[in-house]
Amino acid sequence: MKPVGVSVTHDSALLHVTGRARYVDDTPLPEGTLFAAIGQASISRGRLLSLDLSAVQEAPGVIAVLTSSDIPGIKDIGPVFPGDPLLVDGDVLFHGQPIFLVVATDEKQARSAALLAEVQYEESKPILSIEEAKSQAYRVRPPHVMQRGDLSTMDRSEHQFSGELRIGGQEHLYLEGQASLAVPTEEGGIHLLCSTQHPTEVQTLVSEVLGLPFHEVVVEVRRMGGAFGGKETQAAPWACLASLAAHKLGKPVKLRLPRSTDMTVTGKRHPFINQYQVGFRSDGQIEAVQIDINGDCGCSPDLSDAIVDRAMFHSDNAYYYPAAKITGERWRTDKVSNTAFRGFGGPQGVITAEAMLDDIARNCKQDPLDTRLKNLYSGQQTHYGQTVDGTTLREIMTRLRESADYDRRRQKIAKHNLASSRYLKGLALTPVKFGISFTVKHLNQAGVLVHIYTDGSVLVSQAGTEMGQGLYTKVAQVVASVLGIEIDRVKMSSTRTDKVPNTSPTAASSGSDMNGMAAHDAATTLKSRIADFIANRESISAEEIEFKQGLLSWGASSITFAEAVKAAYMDRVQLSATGFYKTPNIWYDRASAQGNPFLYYANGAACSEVIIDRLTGATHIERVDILHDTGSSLNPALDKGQIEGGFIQGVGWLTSEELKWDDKGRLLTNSPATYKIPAISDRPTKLSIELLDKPNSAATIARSKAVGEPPFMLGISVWCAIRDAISSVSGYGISPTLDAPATPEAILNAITNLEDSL
Amino acid sequence: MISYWKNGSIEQDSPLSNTETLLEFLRESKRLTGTKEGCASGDCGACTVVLVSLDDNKRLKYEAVNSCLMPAAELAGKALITIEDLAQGDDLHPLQQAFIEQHASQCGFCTPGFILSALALKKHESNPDVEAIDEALGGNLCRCTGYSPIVKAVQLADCSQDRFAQCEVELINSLKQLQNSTASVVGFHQPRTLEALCELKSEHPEAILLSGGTDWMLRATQGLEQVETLISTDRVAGLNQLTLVAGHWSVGAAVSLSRIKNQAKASGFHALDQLLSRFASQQIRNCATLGGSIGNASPIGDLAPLMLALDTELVLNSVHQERRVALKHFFLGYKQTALSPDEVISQINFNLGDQAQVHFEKVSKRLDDDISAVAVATHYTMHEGQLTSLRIGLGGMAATPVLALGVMAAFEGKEPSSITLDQVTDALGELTPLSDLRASADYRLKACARVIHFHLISAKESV
Repeated sequence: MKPVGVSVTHDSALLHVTGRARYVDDTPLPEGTLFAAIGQASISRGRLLSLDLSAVQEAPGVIAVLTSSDIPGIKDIGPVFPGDPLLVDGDVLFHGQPIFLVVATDEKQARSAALLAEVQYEESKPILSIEEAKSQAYRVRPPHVMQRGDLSTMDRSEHQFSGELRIGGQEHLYLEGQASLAVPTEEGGIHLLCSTQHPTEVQTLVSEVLGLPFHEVVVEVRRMGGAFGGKETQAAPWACLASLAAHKLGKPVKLRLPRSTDMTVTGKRHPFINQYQVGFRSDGQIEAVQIDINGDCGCSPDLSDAIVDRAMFHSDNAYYYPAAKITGERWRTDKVSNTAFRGFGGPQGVITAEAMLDDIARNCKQDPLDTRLKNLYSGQQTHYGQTVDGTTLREIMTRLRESADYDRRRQKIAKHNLASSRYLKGLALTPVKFGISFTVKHLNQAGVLVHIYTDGSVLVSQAGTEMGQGLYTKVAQVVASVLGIEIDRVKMSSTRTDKVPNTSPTAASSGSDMNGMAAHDAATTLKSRIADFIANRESISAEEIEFKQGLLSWGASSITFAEAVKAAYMDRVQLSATGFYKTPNIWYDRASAQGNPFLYYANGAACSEVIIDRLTGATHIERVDILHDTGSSLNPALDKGQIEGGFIQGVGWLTSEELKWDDKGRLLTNSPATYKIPAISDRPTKLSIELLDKPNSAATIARSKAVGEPPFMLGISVWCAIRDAISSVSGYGISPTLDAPATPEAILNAITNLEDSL
Repeated sequence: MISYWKNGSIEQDSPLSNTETLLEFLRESKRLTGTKEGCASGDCGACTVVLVSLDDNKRLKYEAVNSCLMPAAELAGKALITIEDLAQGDDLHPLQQAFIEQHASQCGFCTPGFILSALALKKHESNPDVEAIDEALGGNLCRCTGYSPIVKAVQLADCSQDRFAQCEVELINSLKQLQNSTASVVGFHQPRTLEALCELKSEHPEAILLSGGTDWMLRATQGLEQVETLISTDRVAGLNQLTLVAGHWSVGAAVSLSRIKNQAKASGFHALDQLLSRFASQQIRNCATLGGSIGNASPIGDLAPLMLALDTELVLNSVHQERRVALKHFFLGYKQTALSPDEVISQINFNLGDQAQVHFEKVSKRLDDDISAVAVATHYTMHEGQLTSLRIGLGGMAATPVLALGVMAAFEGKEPSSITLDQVTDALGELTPLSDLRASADYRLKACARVIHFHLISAKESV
C-alpha cells in the first residue's frame, strides 16, 4: 500500500453521490432559526439621502431591520485595505450594494420585505470603464512598475509591433451560492457555519464587526460547493451580516443569497485592458517588451493589489524578455469590487504574452510554436529577478508537439481552410508557467492538528478548506502514508478556527503544498513518539521499526498500529500533535521590484484544435492534448480532475462567459440564463490529459506540485487556436484583433474585419 | 393535498401554496436536502429529480425535471425519485458507483442532479451514445470537472437491473391506482377536459395558465409573485394528443417538447429534431409545451420562427367558440397575442409538404441550454432550379418572432445560386433587431443574413 501517489477517490465521493454531503444550506436548523435578506442600492454611485424602512419593518414575518448604525464594531470589512463597508454608510459604491438587512421568520418573507424600502439618493454619474477611470486618475491603489534591462533596444530592433488586448471578467458561478448560518453561543459569541475559503478572515471580521475578542467566534467549514476564489474574501459580508443579526437578536440566523443577488453583489475576475509594445528580430527573437497592465478593480482595493501584481509577474508567461518594463495600474470603477478567481491575475498576464507571441510569429511568417520555443526561458532571469530554468517546460512542449502530432495537423488544417467555405479550423500549442506561493509572504504558512484515538483511528484538522479540489483526500493520504495505515483509518475533520488558528486562505494553489507539509510534520511527530515508546519497550532502536500496512514491524516481530497506539496510551504517550509549515526561500522587495517570490513554477502545455463557423462565429473544440507538470503527483486522478476542470473553466472565460453591464452600471448577466458557463457539449470532442511524472526539484510534499490554478491558463490555447483559425482568412498574414471572450459575435466581427480588409 | 408515489409507497402531503415549488417542498417541508438549489431558475440542473408516469401504452416514462420550476401540486398522481431513493443502505445504485469510480464528483453540489438526469436517460436508453448523453445532461451545469468523467460514468453504469427495474410492476400498479388523483391545493386547478379548462378560464380570466410553467414559474421564484389562480393544462386529455398523418402535424397545446422531439426524430423531421435538441434542456423539454411556448410569445422562442415558416395554424377555444388563427396573425407585439383572456390555445397544426425542405439554424453563445441571439427557419420548395416557394421565420430579429417578408418577396421564384449576401442583407433591411446582453443589432443582422444566404445558395431540389 502506497497512499501517496495513488488515485484514491475523493473523501466525500460517497456522500456526494448519495446526496448526504451537507452544505451550509442543508444543515438541520437549530430551533428558532430566523432568515435574513439584504436590501440593496438601486444606483451605482451617489449618496443616500433618506432611508424609510417602515414598510419593511411592518411586512409580515419581519422581526428586525438592521442598518449600518446597528453595527457595534468596525463598519468597514475591507480585507487588506479599507473600502468595503458592510452596509451602505452614506456613500453608495456600486449597484446592488447592501443597505440594510431584514430578518424574518421565513426566508421568502425576508426577501419580499427587503423590496419595500423607500430610498432616496443623490445620484452621481458612475465611472464604469477603465478608459473613464484613466481619464480621471480614479484608482484604488497606486501603480507599480517592474523593470529590467535597457528598454532603448526596442527602437533598434528590426521589428516593432504594438497591440492592445481587452480581456473580460468572469463570474465564479460556484454551484453552491454564498451561505452562512450564525448561531449565538452562551457567552455572546458566534458559532458560524460558512461556505468560505478563508475561515480565519471570516472569524476576524465577524469578531471585529461585533466588537468581540477573536476567541468568541468559531468559524466552521466542512465543504463548499465550489469556490474558485469567489469565497476567499466574498464570503465575509454575508457571514458578518448573519452574525450581526444573530448577535443582536440572540437567535440563529441564516443568510443565503439568491443566485441573481449573489451574482450582483459578489466580486468577479478583473477585466483588464493591456497594451504591449515589443521589439524583435526577423527570426522572432524578442529583444524588448513594454507592457501596460490595466486592471478594472471595481469600487475598492479588496485583493486587487496582489492580483494586478500577479498579472505583472506573469506577463512574461514562459518567455525571456531581455529588456522589459511592466507597469501595473489598479483602476477604480463604480462596480462591485473585483476579487480573487483561479489564477489571480495570472491568466490576464499570460494571455497578453501569448497574444504578443502570435503577433510576432505572424509578422515573421513563422509557425507560432517555433516562435514560442525560440523565446522560451533557458536559465535567464525574469523581469522581477527570479531565475527560470525552463528545461521542464521545453521538454513538455517538445513532447506534446510530437504526441499531439502538431506539425502534420498544422499542414492538414491549412489545406482544410483553403477548401472549406463554411468552417475554418485553428490550432495552437501554448505553455503555462505559473509561480507557486502567495506573493504576500506571511500567508505562506499552515497548521495541522492530528489526533490518534486508542482504536488506532486518526482525525485530522487542518488549515485548508475543501471546495471540491480534493485537499482533504490528499492530506489524509499524507497522514496515512507517514503512519503506514490504510487511508480509511484517517478521517478529515471540518476546518474550524478553534482547531487550527490563524490560518491562510485556501488559495494560490497552495492548499496541498502547505497543509500536506504541515500534516507530514504532525504525523511524523506522532510516529516518532509511538516508535520511541515501542523501541523503549522492546529495547530496540526506533529506526528499526517500520510503519507499514497497518503494522509496526521490527525483526521478526510485529504488532498492529491499533495495538501500538493502545499500549502507548496506557504508557501516557501524547497521541495528539500539531504540525506547521512555512514556505522557505521566498521574498520580494517591492521598492526595487526584485525578488524570488515563488518557491517553484508549475508547468504545462496544451495543444488545441478548434473549428469555427464562418457564418455565425460559433466555435467548437475538436481536440485537446494536455501535458501537465504536477511533479510526483500525490493523486493522479484528482490532479487530472483539476487539470480538466481548470482547462474548461479557462475556456469558458475566453469564449462563452461574457459579463455585461448597462450604462447605469447594472449587471445584466446576473443569472445562469444570461451568463453562460461551459455546458456538457462544450467539452472537447477528443481530450487527452497526461501528467509529466517528474519529481519537483523544490522540496515539496512528496515532491509534488500545486495544481489548482495553473491548468486554468491552458484554456488560452483555445483562444489562440480561434485566432489562428480567423487568421487563416488572411492566409495567416494578419494577426487579427480578437477581444476576450471570443464570443460568436467577437469572432464574426474579427472575420468580417479581415474579409473587409482583404 | 397531493398523493404521489415515492420510494415504495404512496404518500400524501399538503403543499404550502399553489406556487410552492417541488424543490421548496422537498428541502423545506420534507427535509430532503439531497436535491440542491443552484439557481432556482431552471438553468443549472442541481435540483433535478425524476418524475415517473405512465405513457399512452401504460409503460413507465421516466422524466428528469427541474424541481425549482415545478409547482409541488403538479406532483399529484405521479411517482417521484430523488437522490435519497437510489441507494439502499450501503448498496449503491450503479450510477452512484460509477460516479465514484470515475471521479465524477469534485465539489459534489451538482452531482445529485447529474445522477438523476442520467437515471432518466438510462431508463429509456440503456446504452446511450455520447450525443444522447450530451442531450440528456445539457441542462446540468458542473463548474468543477469539465464533464468527461461524468460522461464516462454514465456510459459505464449498467442500470438494467437496478432497483427501479425490480419494482416496475409495483410502480405501474401504484401509478394506475393514482391515475385519477388530482391536486387539492387552494388556487390550483388541474382540469381534465377542454370544456372544464375553458369554463375555468372563463370563470377566472385573470388566472395564469400553466402549460409546463417553465417560464411563468420564474415570476414566483425570482419575482416572488403570488397569484390567486393557477390552471394547469397538464391533465387536459384533449390537449395531450399528437397526430401525424401524411405530413400533417396536429399537436395538442399541452404536448411536451420532448414528446414532439421524439416524434420528429421518428418521422425524420430533422430540422424540428435538431431545433429541439438545442431548445433549453431535457428537464425543460420534459415540462414545456408547444402551446406554452407559443402562448408565452417570447420574441425569441426558437419554435415560433419554425412554426411561422411552416405557416402554422392555431386552434383557440373558449366557452363561446372555437376559432382558427394563423400564427403570423397571432403575435401582436412584445409578449402580446391575439388570445382573449377567456381563451386557450388547444391545438397547433402545420403541414410539411412532400417536396418541402426545412432548415433551422440557431445562433447563441452556448450550444446547450441557451437563448438564441438569432434563430432562422427556412422552408422552401425547389423546382427546375427555382425557389417555387419560400418562407423564412426569424427569432431575435424584432419584438416578436417574424416572417422575413422582404427576403421571401425578393427571392421567391429566383434561382438560388445567383443570390448574393449583399442582396440578402438588403432584403432584411426592414428589420431592426435589438442590441442586448446576448448580441448587438449589428451582429444579429450580419449573422442572420449570412445564415439565410447560406441556406438559399445551398438549396436543393428534394429527391
